Amino acid sequence: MTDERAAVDADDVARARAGDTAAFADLVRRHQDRVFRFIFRMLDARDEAMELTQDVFVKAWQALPAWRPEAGFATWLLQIARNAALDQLRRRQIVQFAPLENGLDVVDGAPGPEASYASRQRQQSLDRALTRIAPEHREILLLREVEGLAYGELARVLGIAEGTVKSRLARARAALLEQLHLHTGAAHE
Amino acid sequence: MNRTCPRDEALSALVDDALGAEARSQLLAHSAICPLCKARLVELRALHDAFAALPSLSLQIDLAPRVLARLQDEAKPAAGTGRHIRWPQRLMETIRRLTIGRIVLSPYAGATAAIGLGLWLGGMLVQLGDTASPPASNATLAAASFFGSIPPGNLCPRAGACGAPGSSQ
Repeated sequence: MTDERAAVDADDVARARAGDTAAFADLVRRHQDRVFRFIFRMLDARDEAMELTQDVFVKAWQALPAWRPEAGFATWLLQIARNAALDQLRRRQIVQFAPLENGLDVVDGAPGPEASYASRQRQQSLDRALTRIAPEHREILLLREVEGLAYGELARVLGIAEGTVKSRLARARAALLEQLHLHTGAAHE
Repeated sequence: MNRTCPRDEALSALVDDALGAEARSQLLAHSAICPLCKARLVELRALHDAFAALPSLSLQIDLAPRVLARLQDEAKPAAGTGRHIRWPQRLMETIRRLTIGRIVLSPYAGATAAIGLGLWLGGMLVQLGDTASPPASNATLAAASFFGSIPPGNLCPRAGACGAPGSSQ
């Protein structure tokens, strides 16, 4: 996130803390897709993800007094989203995940019609493989690869040391590659 | 990978561009001559590219009005009676959502119907007491005589054993 956007966020948070709901609405609009995207890929359920995204913003509103600018609003929101998603997974007690194509009916920003068949196949394989790895691996990969969080931000969101971030990312990638190899039948090492 | 190969962790960090300049150049030099590490690096980079190619999911709706409505809903009771009553409200909200018609099938309609039924039954008992057994001032006892051991129309075993003195069955 650029410093400019972080400054806009900080300004809106300050106004929201003072009771300005319009400022909070701006924050919601600016971050809703990011929160939804992360939760949706964690849970693989659109309606649940949409409901939980709203919960995240309600929790964020309630926790606004505790927010500190050095945390970064987007990172802080993802931390709330991550906790909410894990709670939901615990509630569902999911061990094996359903294939993602059942829930992937969200409009995407990619140019659908012109996307090649092979590219779509790769995306579906990746989505499917993501649902088959452990939640702790899935979350770190989504936060790193999709949301682009730096190692320090990952450590803060996940509540682990930066060294652990490095090793967990490596294990998560290995697990995901293994799932992809299993699915495609390719040889591995 | 053999014993001299770097750990997967280092290759993963290389893909994230999270290595120092020296470590990075050493790793790249090794990968150039080690087919196993080279293949692994290609895999990790392909994975990175695959993530980058994932469609950017979008909600396509504005969540802000919904979130603000929920904040308003939660703020109203919290101001008056405290946050501990939130769960009953949520329960009521769930029941309300489950019912089709808000007026006909709402919990309030159910409560009103229960109170009305109670009043009607109570009224019947009072009327029964007034007509069937005038001397009995207690309406409940009069109603309970329906369930007495002597069926209606039977003779009393002895005088005064049934009903009030002076009455005959």
